Amino acid sequence: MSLIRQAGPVRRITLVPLIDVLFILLVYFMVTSVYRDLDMIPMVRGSDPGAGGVDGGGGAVTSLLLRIDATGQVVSRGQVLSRDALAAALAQPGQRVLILPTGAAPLWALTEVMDAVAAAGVQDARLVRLEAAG
Amino acid sequence: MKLRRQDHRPAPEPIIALVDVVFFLLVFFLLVARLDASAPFEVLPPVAVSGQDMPGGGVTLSVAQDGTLAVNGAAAAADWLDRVRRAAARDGARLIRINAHRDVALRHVLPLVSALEQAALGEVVIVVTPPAP
Repeated sequence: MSLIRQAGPVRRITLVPLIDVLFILLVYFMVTSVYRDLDMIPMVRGSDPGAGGVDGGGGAVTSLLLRIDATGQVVSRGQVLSRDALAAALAQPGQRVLILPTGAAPLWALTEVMDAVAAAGVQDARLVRLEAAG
Repeated sequence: MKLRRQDHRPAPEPIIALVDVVFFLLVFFLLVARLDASAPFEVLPPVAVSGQDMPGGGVTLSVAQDGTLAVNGAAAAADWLDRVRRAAARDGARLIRINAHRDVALRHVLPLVSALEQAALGEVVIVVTPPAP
């Protein structure tokens, strides 16, 4: 008597659970992704610990002091500067630009001024902050 | 003569192409998503043309419009500098990102920059976004 092992049905690997997992992952990434293009503006260079200081040296370098008031307007020598006037004031080569914002000035005003400074190709721009005495 | 109608079984729907498409979409979202810790409040960064490409990694210090702070997505208060220092030491990070709301007053932001500069934790940058095309 010979025993013949009965051939069982061929089990196929189903793809349905794989697709379920993929769909769940896909929906997760679609929901949690934030599509915002982010850049950066350096404030403190790690290799330049003294970058934030302002020396009081006079020298022959002319300085342009730009104040930013609480509404975001840029004021220089008592005059409110429009964007064009700011660009014209920054166009003078070789000058040092000092940016002095009030504490109530919004951040967007500072980045606008830094944009204008960068666009004018100013090499020496410094951010000045007044601290309360004592 | 007996004619038999041929048995037309409907072909199974091919799902391999569907799996391919889902895989491509999944890989796309994996590549483009930044798995950064988001702030527990809304932060709309200021718009700037002169921004540079931002490298990955680092510690994110978020500042809300009212000056509320968060370090790597966790709310922080007066202990924010200790939290930043611990996070930077844990990750070996030399980049501190200040992700501040565009309308926040600078009295909430500039003292952070000064404190981070004095702490000498590395490069400090302000997060901006380029103008919409």
